[in-house]
Amino acid sequence: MVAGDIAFLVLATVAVASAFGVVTFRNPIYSMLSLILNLLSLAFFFLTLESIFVATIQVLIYAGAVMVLFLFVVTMLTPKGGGISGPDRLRWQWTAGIGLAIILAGGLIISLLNGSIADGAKVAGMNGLSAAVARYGNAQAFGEALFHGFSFPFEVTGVLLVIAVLGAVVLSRRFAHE
Amino acid sequence: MIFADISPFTYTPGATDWLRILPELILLGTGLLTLMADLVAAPGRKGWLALVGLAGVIGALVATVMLWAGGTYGDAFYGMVNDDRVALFASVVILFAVGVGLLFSPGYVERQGIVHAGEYYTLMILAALGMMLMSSASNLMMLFVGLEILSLALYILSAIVTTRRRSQEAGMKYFILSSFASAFLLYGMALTYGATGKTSLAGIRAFVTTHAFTMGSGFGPLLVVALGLMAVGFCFKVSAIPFQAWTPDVYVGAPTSVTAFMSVGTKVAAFVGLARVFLFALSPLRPTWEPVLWVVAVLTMIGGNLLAATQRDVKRMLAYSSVANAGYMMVAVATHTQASFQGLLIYLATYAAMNLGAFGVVLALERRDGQGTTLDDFAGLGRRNPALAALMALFMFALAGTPATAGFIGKWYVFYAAMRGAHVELAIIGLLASLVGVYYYLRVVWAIYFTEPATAPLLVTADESAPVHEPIASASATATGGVALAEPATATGIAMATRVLPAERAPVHLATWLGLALAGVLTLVLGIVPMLMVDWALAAAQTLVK
Amino acid sequence: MSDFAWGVVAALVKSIIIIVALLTAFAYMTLIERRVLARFQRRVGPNRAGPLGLLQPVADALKMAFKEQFMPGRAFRFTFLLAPALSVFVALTAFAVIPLGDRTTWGTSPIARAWAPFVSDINVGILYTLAISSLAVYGIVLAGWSSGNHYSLLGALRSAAQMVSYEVSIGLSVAGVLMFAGTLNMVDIVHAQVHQGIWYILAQPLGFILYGIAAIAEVNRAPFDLPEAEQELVAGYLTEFSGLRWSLFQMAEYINMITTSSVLATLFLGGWTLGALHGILGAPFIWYGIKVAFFLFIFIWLRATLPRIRYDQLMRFGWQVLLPLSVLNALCTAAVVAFDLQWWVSGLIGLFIILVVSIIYYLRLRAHRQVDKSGIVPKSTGLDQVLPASVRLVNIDPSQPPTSPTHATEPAATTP
Repeated sequence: MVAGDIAFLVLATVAVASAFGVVTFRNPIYSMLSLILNLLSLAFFFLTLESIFVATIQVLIYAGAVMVLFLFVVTMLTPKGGGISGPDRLRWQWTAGIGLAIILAGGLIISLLNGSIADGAKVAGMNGLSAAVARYGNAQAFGEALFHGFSFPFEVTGVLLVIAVLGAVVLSRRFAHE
Repeated sequence: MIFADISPFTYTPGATDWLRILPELILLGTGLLTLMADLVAAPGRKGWLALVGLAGVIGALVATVMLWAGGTYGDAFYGMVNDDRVALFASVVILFAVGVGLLFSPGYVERQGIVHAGEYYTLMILAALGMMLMSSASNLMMLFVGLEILSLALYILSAIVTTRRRSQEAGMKYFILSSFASAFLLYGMALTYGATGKTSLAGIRAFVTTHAFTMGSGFGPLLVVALGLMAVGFCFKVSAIPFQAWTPDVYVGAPTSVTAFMSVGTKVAAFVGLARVFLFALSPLRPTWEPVLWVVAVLTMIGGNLLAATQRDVKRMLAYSSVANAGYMMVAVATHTQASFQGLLIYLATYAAMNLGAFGVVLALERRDGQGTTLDDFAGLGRRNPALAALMALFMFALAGTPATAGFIGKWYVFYAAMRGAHVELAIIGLLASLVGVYYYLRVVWAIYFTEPATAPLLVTADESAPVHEPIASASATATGGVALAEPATATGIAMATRVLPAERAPVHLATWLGLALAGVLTLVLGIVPMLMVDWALAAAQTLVK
Repeated sequence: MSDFAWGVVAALVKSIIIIVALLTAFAYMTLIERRVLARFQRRVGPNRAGPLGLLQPVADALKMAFKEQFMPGRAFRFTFLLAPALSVFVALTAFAVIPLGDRTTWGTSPIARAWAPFVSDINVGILYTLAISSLAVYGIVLAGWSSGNHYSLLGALRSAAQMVSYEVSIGLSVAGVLMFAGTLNMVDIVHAQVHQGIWYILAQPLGFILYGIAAIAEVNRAPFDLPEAEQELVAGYLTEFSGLRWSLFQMAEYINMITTSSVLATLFLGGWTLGALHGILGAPFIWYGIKVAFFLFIFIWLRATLPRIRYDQLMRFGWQVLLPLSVLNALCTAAVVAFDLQWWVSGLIGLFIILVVSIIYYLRLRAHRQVDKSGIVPKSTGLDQVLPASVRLVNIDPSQPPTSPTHATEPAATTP
């Protein structure tokens, strides 16, 4: 799978570079564009895993809806396109953050180099999955799992959304006598 | 239970599944009912919504007790949740917390002029629902969804006093920091899934039991990173040091009724979740995570107590005290025996009673502007309001760990389990830290009974450097009958320079009295005849920690 | 060569064909639109360049190519250049899953299947189209923002809000069709219609109307063309664009129209089929073309007929009318599918809802029309409820001196 490896390397480079861009650009719009690029490259990762349904949903929800709202707010609040200015008052946080990031990266690299995922785990996770995909097809398998085995978390998420709607009402709606 | 034989593609939930989450269902129905009832409630007279909520809470409590008495527990919904004794024990504590929180609310909500009263009650009930789901989760996914439900509801509740900046600030701070911590937790869960191929707690436990764990190879390193990330997430949620920075600001800024409820409820849910992940699912990896939690426990006990000792605002002191208490509970987790888990459950129950009560007294004393909770305001309370003063003294003695109160029982079981579980050093550090606690808890009692109140409860000054800007502005607004956003005092301060705020406080609402009495009685009962609860906790502990 | 390699070659060649075809269609759509609009307005329209004006697009293209490409000094160079390209890219990409014919149009051998008349046959086809079209908003918002101009930014923000609002309705109104078809694959949706012997417009009349309206808003066409409102925003996000860059935006808009019409035809009118007549070689393209042309004509017709609606009306319509109706449609369809009822039950429910909503709208319209003949709007018409709070209707009496606005006379904050 040389082609697959090349695709992975390209995507990984794009993903990491764009993620880096999100935190380093001083102009919030460029940060946002980097984030969109990052999300799109994630969608392509899903594609390389032959999970086209999740890839599409990733684009539809994140790039298509969530980030548009981000863009909406950011463009509205920074019409002149000015970046974040002013002195960095918490400079020590940079040092601490970089240190912690190195620790995390080190841990992940070590686990990567040591063949992190046990074969048993692979089997446990994938067992039945590929059979189901073969039997139902990609999107259908997702749907079957979502509405059968994982129906409860899916339904409970509805409560979360109700709370979010309530929050929007509480935080944004002002009454006349306030 | 591992569902090797049942495929997620064909599983269909049945009646038993729904029966197992009956308390949650009742609570959900109640939450939606209060939301609907809000439509017909007249503005400003929404106190009865709390009654609707209370009815639901009592219903859920009855359902919980019935499930406990039924005695058959197991997984439901493809191993997503279960109704084991731990979940039921936690549910009872959470329902008690939300019940008392609802009792505290009607008077407070009216006094603070919270316009979104209907949403307030709904969110409170739904937050309790999230806590119950989290503590009954038997799958990482459900654990996270429950956590998000309770967190999201609490962010909004913290910011619900739209006229007070500190409340808005609390909501914002809580939201940003807490979602960051949630991300850590989620990352850790994802890596756990990567390492073990399971999201169900039982499945993870089975995997790490049957597979040899080594730090250097295989799934080991990945799981270690996952452990670290999950520990960060959980420690944030229980406000353990070094992740406690949000606690004081959020607890002080949020409406006191919410603070009372969340300081207890979040701890129950998060600690039970932590126990399910660390003491049950990842129990075989104990040598890996134990030192981390040991350090966190020590830091939290010492730091929390020292920080609390320096506070003059009682509400803020209680916030730091909840950090310190998280430390004692962390001792129980780090000890990792059946007895220590029993101790954790006992501590959670006793902490619920006394902490709710303490915040309740603060709530009763708090003025419309959110001030009036410093030690000076407590001065002379013994003569002004003897009943309130006696209750506060009781709660302070209990929090300090005096025998014959609930606080002693909790500390006793946790420290005793630590000593038996070969963590004598933790018990000793805990005892020493509690001594600091005695100082600041009893300082409140001293203020109540042995100091004289200052000439006026709050002196008003036009001096810009004085720290009382906000109260002036909001007090002027409340005096006109409405409420307004607290403005910087430069505009109104000069005009108001000679005004002294009225000394009298709003009378304590009947429901608040009821809540305080409930907490007080429970603090005493759990302290004097604790054996019934101890047995229940043991029964619960036996189902999770073998 | 292996089948896989053939597939790649076929996909590439087909993409190029589709792109060329779409660009040509765009060029002639501009001409057709101008001619048709002219007919609506009892004019002749451009007919000088070539026979019947058929060379007009060529003339336009040459003119655009040689125009000066202006960039404002305050513009953000990178995004300013990126935005038009992004718009066209998204518009072209979304077309990839639209089927112009069956998988076996050229025969049943693997190579013939590889050359079937669509670029890609993926199992989440409709979701793919929705996902890609949802990216279209970036072109517009970035264009507006990078112009460094307030009108452009306003247009861009309007567009963002509008597209996000109507996307929800689009997704929900499609849900009904998907429930009937039981698949997300565009080719299979057509097959499902053939199999069930109906066009889904019969089973989903409400869904069809909702999708149509929301799709017009999604492609920013009249009467929902607020992002480029000339009168209020001096063309909105297009203000600072000229020459080829401007025509790229136009290109994107027209290609989006074609894509939307194709989706409508595929989901609701049976795509390339017409009874049994799609068996004839080449016929599918004709049926498909006729259906798409029909919808494109409706796009132009609406533009010629309807005035642009106001922004608050747009938002209110999207969230308070379209969205609830979409949910209702999805619920009713779900019930019909779940209880295994006949398709016409769903159709009748849809027609009934359409009827009720039309009657409500008619009654409200009549109430609004009863305005006093004197030209002064009386207070009782309810019109002031429709207007935003910032606009106030007052009775102007010329004999009286003007008074200060009401909000200045509100009592000052009382202090005890």
